[in-house]
Amino acid sequence: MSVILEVVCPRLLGPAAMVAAAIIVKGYSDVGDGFSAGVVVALAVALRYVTLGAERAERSLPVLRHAPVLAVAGLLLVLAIGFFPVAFGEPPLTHFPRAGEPVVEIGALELTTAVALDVGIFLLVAGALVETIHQIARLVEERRA
Amino acid sequence: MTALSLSLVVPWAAGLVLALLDGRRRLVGWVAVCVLGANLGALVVLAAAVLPDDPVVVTTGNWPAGVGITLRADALGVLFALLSSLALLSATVFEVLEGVRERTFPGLVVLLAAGLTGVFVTGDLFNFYVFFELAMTAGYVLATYGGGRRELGAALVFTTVNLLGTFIFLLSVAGVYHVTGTLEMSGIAARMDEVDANAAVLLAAGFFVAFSVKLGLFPFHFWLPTVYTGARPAVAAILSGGLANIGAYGLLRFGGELLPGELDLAAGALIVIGSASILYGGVLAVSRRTASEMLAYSAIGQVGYVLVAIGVGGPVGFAAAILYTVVNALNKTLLFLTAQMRGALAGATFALGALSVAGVPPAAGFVGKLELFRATAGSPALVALFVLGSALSFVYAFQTYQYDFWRGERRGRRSSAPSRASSPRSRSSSSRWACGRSRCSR
Amino acid sequence: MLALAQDELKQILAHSTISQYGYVVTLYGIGGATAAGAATLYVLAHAIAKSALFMTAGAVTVATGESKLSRLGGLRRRMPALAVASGVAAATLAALPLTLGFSKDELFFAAATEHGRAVQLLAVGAAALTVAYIGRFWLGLFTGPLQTQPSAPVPPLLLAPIVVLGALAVVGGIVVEPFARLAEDAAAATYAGPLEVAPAYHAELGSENRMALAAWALGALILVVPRVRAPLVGAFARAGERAGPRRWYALSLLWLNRVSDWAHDREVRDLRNSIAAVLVPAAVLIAIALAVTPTRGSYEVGPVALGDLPIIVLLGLGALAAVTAARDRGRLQPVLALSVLGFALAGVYAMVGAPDVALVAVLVETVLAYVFVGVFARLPPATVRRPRRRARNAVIGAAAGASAFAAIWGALSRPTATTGVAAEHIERAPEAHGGDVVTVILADFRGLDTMVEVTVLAVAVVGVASLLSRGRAW
Repeated sequence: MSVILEVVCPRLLGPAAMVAAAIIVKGYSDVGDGFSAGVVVALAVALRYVTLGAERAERSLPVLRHAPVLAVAGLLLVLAIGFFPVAFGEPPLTHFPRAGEPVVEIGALELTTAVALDVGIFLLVAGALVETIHQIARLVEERRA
Repeated sequence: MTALSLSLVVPWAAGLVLALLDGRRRLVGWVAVCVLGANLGALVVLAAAVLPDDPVVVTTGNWPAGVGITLRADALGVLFALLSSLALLSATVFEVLEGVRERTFPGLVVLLAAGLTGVFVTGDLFNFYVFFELAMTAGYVLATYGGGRRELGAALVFTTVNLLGTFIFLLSVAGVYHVTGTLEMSGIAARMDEVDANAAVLLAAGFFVAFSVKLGLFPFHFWLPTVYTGARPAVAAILSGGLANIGAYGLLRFGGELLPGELDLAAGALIVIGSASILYGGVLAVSRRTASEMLAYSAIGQVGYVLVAIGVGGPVGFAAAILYTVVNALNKTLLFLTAQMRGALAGATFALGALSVAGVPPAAGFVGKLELFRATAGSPALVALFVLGSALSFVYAFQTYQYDFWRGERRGRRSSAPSRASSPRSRSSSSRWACGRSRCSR
Repeated sequence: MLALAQDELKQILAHSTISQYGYVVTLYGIGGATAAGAATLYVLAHAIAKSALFMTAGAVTVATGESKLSRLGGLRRRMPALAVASGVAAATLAALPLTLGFSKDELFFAAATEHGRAVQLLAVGAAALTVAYIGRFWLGLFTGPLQTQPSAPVPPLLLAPIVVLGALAVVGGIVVEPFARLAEDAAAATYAGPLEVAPAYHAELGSENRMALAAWALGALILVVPRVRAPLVGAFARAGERAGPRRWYALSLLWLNRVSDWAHDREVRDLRNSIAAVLVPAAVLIAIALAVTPTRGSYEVGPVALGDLPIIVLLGLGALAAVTAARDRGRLQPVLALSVLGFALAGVYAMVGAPDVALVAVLVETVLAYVFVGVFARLPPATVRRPRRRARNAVIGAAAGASAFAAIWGALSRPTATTGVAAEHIERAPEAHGGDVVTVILADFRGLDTMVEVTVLAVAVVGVASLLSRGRAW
């Protein structure tokens, strides 16, 4: 059991990121959105914490350190997407391209403001949850020490 | 529209960035003050546009109202937003001058300002709820400010009880959406007439309970003294001068605009609950030993006036309720901030706020009380209640004043001591005058 | 009356305030438009004059270190400005002409005249007493032989407001108009009707003026003839000490404090009771609301089809889990039971056609379960105290649950509004280039809600950081 955990769990991060990307990209025309994607990634990170312990998990994945900044950056992106139309005299959250205008597509990805909004939400949710996991892991380790 | 968006975005974005920084540094604190000032400025510009003309209405995404979210800044909302922003700004200036103790404080206050602004300028029920939650969540964290055992205990009670209130509110929102099929406030108001009396009254009761919990009205108030006494002065000022405005605003907006029929039906109950609140808060405030404890109970009593005015209803009643809320929020901010300070100037300011709470002529509270009397002129019982309540507030305000600001010279003495030959010369004239006033009451 | 006997400066003024507010009450008691207007003007004039006098008392005490009238006197040479300013204020209270006070007494007499001879006499007597005690205050302070040498000059900061207030009183006496207007507005509020406050100086010897003259004469008489004053006042003061308002005041204050303490001791403060204190009144309110409105047709159980069976099973499972979570002690079982409840609800969402909601619910539930188990498994075992008064808690919980059930059923069992906005959302989803309507609602139609909601998440995480590591982000 524990062997499987130790072998499998750290390697789950890649597939989880893939799933998350798929959820975002497909999301706008199918079930799923940035929130779910963020939770999926956070779950994979949580698994690493559980199997490797907080210290090893964070050493092996230094990008986790930037989780709080990423979260805030995501939220700032969301705000920017939401309120930039105001600068052009449009109400907040105006959708670009507008209704009826063609959408640029790169494969399955549709380039719309709503998708950018979703990416921001993904960053925020993933970052915020990883931050929470970090804080709790720290607490638990302190208690044990 | 630009002012409306700016008043939201500026504190929102800035609060997030500030939350990452170390708020104990002076610079961060002053940046937070500047952001709050900008928020206030944007609201003033918005008010300048709203007050002479019609409300500013924007629906997100160019969708028709109802499909998108309607932001609607009208006179009532802008007034409350201004008021709350002002309270937050003064509390933050106070705390920055005193020295911020925790990293997250400036960011949280700024985010709270964003949430409060959103609550007061939205025209959409669910959007109201989410902004409300943003403000409350920031409030929960702020309540832990200080980090001592007392603060944490108070914050736990505050959070749990208010989460319960928020949950009741959410249930009512869901119910309203179910029976009217829309979340836009004007749409709800239009469709509420066709709704079954039973469902409408139950929903109205739900909203009433939710806002009463926020306001700390009599039977729902038990969390309030613990929290306001336990929290640090700046936080108590923010909670009572800023966050508690949501309760009064909600009662006015939901009662007066969305559910006017149900409000009429419940007028008697509102007046009874309000009266109970006035008397209960007044009586309990009398023998409290510390200023913040007295103020906590006084807050319970003061919102009772607002509720009675709403219960009386009509244009005059609502005007009185609004005016009284404004005066009350300003009083509370002032008093909570000065309650912990010592010295002549703080004493004088406290006395001024206390005069205002008691409704004595030179202070602003007099105007509020006057408006209340105007609203209730038809009913001798209510006038008598108000007079009694005012007398109680006079007694508790100045009893506390004596305890707190004169403690150095008059330890524990209750009755007016006839001889006080040697009085320090440092006390300022107005505090001296206020002492005189307090004596004339005994 | 008592003010005449007091020696302490502020005591004089305090008793005088009682008497002045007595006037106001009398005026309201007389009733009518004239009286209401007079009462408000009275409050106004009194506020100005009395503030000035209180400050005078303060200033004198600061300068001399002495606060007894019998030990003060002859200060007019030392403090001429103070003497003049407070003299004006005193004149206002005594209602001498050319001050705001004159108008107030004029109105007072006018109101009294409307109500017959007895009230008129009473009014003159009261006004005479006012003249007497205020005269005693001012004359005692500033005239006669110098009693206590002032040790310091009066600070200008103290003097300035007195002068301003005195000036205000004189200006008000000559130009009554703005004050009258203010009083009119205020009085209209208390009287609930339009009325006119029109004080003016009447040259003719109307009854008001005669009364005023009589009052001054009488007041002066009481003042200059100590032999008239002493026994009268002495007797009254002794009576007052025994049964007078002051004793009553002290007693009632004592009782008020006792009641207040008693109620405060009975208040609840801990978490459990605070929650109960919200739930119980809420349940009572809902019950009252149910009682006063017609409920016919609101509570009908619809038909149950075979296809609903899985939902019913899941809901039953959820209910069971909820009961387990509420009953079980320890840490792990309630958490696991709550997870079961969450997953059961997610199953229900999936079945009623909300796969998005179900997906999010499952994910969130998993994270929560992880966090709880992770923390609890590693925390040192704690002794869980058995909560007291379990029966009471159960009753309160059941009452709140029943009222919530009734309210939700009452509100949600109505047929959905026919013209709901949901239909329009579905219809317009393609306009937003979206296929899945839930996502379009979240990211576009109601994107603002989503923005706020994720900010709430961020704030909550800030809260976690603030609690666990004093706000350090990492």
